[in-house]
Amino acid sequence: MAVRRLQIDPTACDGRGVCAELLPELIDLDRWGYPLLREPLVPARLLPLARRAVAACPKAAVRLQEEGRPATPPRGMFF
Amino acid sequence: MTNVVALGGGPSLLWFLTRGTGTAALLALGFMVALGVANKGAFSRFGLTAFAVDELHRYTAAVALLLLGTHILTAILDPFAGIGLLAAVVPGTTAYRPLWVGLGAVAFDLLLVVYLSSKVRLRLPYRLWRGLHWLAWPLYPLALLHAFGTGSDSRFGWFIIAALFSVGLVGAAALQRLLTSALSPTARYTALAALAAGGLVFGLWLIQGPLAPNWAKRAGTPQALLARSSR
Amino acid sequence: MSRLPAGALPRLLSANADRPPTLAEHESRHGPLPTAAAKELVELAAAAALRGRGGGGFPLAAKLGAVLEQRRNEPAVVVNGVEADPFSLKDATLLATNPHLVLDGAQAAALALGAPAVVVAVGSRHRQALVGVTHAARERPYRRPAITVRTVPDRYILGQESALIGYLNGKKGLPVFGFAPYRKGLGGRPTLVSNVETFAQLGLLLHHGERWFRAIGEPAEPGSALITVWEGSGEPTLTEVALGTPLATVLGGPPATPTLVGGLGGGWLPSGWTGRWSRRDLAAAGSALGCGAAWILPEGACPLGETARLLRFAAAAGAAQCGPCRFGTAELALLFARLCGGDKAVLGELEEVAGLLVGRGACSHPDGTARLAASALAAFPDGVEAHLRHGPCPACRLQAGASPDGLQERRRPRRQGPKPATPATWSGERWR
Repeated sequence: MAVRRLQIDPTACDGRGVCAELLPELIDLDRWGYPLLREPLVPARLLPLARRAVAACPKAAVRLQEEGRPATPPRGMFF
Repeated sequence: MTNVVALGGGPSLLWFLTRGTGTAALLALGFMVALGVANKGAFSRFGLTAFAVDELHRYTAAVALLLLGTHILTAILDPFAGIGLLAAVVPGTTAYRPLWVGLGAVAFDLLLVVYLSSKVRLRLPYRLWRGLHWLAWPLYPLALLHAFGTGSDSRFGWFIIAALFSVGLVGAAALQRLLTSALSPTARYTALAALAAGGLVFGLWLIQGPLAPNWAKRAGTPQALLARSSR
Repeated sequence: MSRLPAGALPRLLSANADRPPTLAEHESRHGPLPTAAAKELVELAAAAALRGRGGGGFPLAAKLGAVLEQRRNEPAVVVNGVEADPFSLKDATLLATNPHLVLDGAQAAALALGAPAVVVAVGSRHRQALVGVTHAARERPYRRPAITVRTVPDRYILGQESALIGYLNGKKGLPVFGFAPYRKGLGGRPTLVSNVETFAQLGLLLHHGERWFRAIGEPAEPGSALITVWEGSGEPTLTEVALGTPLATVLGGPPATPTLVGGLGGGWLPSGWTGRWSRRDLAAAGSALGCGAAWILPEGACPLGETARLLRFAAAAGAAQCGPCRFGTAELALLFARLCGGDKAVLGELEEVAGLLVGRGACSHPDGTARLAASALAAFPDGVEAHLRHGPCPACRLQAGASPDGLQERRRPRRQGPKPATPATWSGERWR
C-alpha cells in the first residue's frame, strides 16, 4: 500500500483556506490564515478528499506525494 | 409571442433549438462567470464553503459548454441561416450577420481554451493557467453581444428577461467581489466606476441597437432571409 | 604527500600577510591541482565527514552522490560566495586572500563530476573578493573546467541556494520549495552548489588526504572552521580554529558579555559560556554554528534590545513569499519590541509565534529568526524579567549598540551601488 504524503508549497500558498475546508482532519489554519499540516501522512479513507483538495486549491499549492515518487497531478474532477 | 411561421421553408425546429439553447447557454455562462468572479470566502455565513462555490463554478462551466455545443450544432445543421462548421470557431465566415455570429465564434473559442486549460490545470505552470483564465473576462461580454446582436429574439420579453438576469448575476458578483476584496480605495472606486460605465454603455447600445427597429437589417441579415421572415 | 604539518593552523587561511599567494606560491604550499575520480571523491568526502560551511551543514558526500546519480545532462558546479549575512566575512576574505584553494576544490569537483564549468557567485559588496577570485581564475592554466565569476546583488535572500540558482538562471532570486539542485539547478542541469569555505576544505582534503584532514577537529566533524569575530565596536577579525575548540580558548577567555553566534539566524550565548565551538555544542545551547560568526556585545549593550533590532532587520530582509514567514517575522519583531518596552502580556504570544515559524517556509529564514528570538529568551531570563518589570533599559532606549556594518533595515533592496565591505584586516598579527 503506497504511503501518501500531503505537502503544501508555501511559496504558492496564499492562505485562501480551501484545503482546510476539505480536510479539517489534517489541516488547520494558523492565526494568519495559512495551513498548518497536523499530520502529513494521509490515511486511505481521506485520500479522495485529499485529491479534491489538490484539485481545489486556487493557487495549486497543495501536493500529494506518493512515497518515493515525485508529486504527480491528480485526474480531473468531471467527465 | 413566438414567431411561428406555418409555411415550409421558414425557421425549422432546429432554429428554435438554437435560440433556446443559446439563451440557456447565456444563463449558464452568467452563472459560471458569477461563481468564478465572486469572492468565494464571503459566502461562509450562508454555509457555503469556498470549495463548494468553486466546484459549482466548474459544473456550470461544463453545463454551459454542453448547451453551447448543442446551440452550435443545431445552428450548423439548420439550413435557415446557412452557418457552416467552420463558423463555429472562425469569426466572420458567415453570410448571416457576420460580425455578430463571429463574436459568438470568438466567445466559443475563448471558452474552449479556458475550459480545456482548466481541465489540465495542474499539469500546466501556474502562471500560464492563470493567464489563460483571464480570457474568461472578454468571453462573457462577447457572448452577450452575440446573443443580442445575432438573436432573432432580441425584442422578445422572455429573452430580454433571461439575458438581463444573466447580466445581473455577473454584475452582482462583480460588485460583491469589488466591495469585499482588499483593495486600495483608488482601485476600488476606479473598478466600480468602470463597471458602472460598462453597464451604461451596454444599456445605451441595447437601446439604439438590437432593441431599436430594423435591427435585423442593420445587423447584416442577408436580403433573402429578410424577405422570408415577417420582420 | 603533505607539505603542511597536519596539526597546525592556519590551514585555510593563507600564510601571506600582505597579498594573496600567486599560483606558484600556492602550489608550493599545497601542491598542484588535485584530481580524483568521482567515486573516490565521494568516498573521501564521506570518510572525512565534510559538512557544508554555509549554515546548512549538509554532508558534502551526499550532495556529490546525488549529482552523480543524475546521468542525463552535464552537471554544473556553483560556488556560493554571496555571503549576505551581515555578520559573516569569511567567504569574502577567503576569496580575497586565498582564492586558489577554493578554486582547487571547485575545479576538482567539477572534473570528477564531468562539469564543464564552475560558476563562482560573489556578492556585489565584496569587492576585494571579486578582484581576488577573478585574478586567480585568470592565473590558472587549466582550461577546463572554465571558471566564471558572477556578481550577485547585495540582497540577504540571495545567499540562499535556491534563490541564488534562480537568480543565476535569470529568474527572480527567491527561494523555491522542494528545491533539488542535484536534479535541476543551474541552467536546468544537475548542480553541485556549496559554500566557498566548503570548497576550500575540499581542496585541503584532496591535497593532503583524510588522515591529515582529521588531525585536528572532532571525530564526528573533523577539520577547521572560520569564525568572523566582532568584539566590542572594533573591526571584525577572522580566526581559523579547530572544530571542537572551547570558545574560551578561541577568545582568550570565556566571553565577558552576551555573544550572538551563527549570524542572523543563529542564537545567543550567555556571558561566561564555557562550551565548545562545534555544531553539536552550539545547537545544544540553543544557538547554531550557522555562518560561523560571533558577535560579542560591547559592554553596556542590551542583548534584548539588539535582538529586537535584528528581528526587525530579519523581517525586512526576508523574501516575503511565504505567508507564515512574512507575517510571523514581522509579528515576532513587533512583539519583541513590546517585550523590551515592558509589556508583560507578550511572553506567551512570543513563544506561540516563534513556534508557528518553524518549518513553515521554503527556506530556513523563519526557522533562524525564531531561533534568534527563542535563544534570547532562554539565555537572558533575568534580563527578560527586568525588562518586564522596569521597562526598557537605557541601552534599549538608545538601541545604539555597536553593530556590524551593513546591518541596515530596508524594505526593498537598494538601487544604489554596492557598499564596500570591511574585510578582516589583512595583517599578520591578527591571524591566530
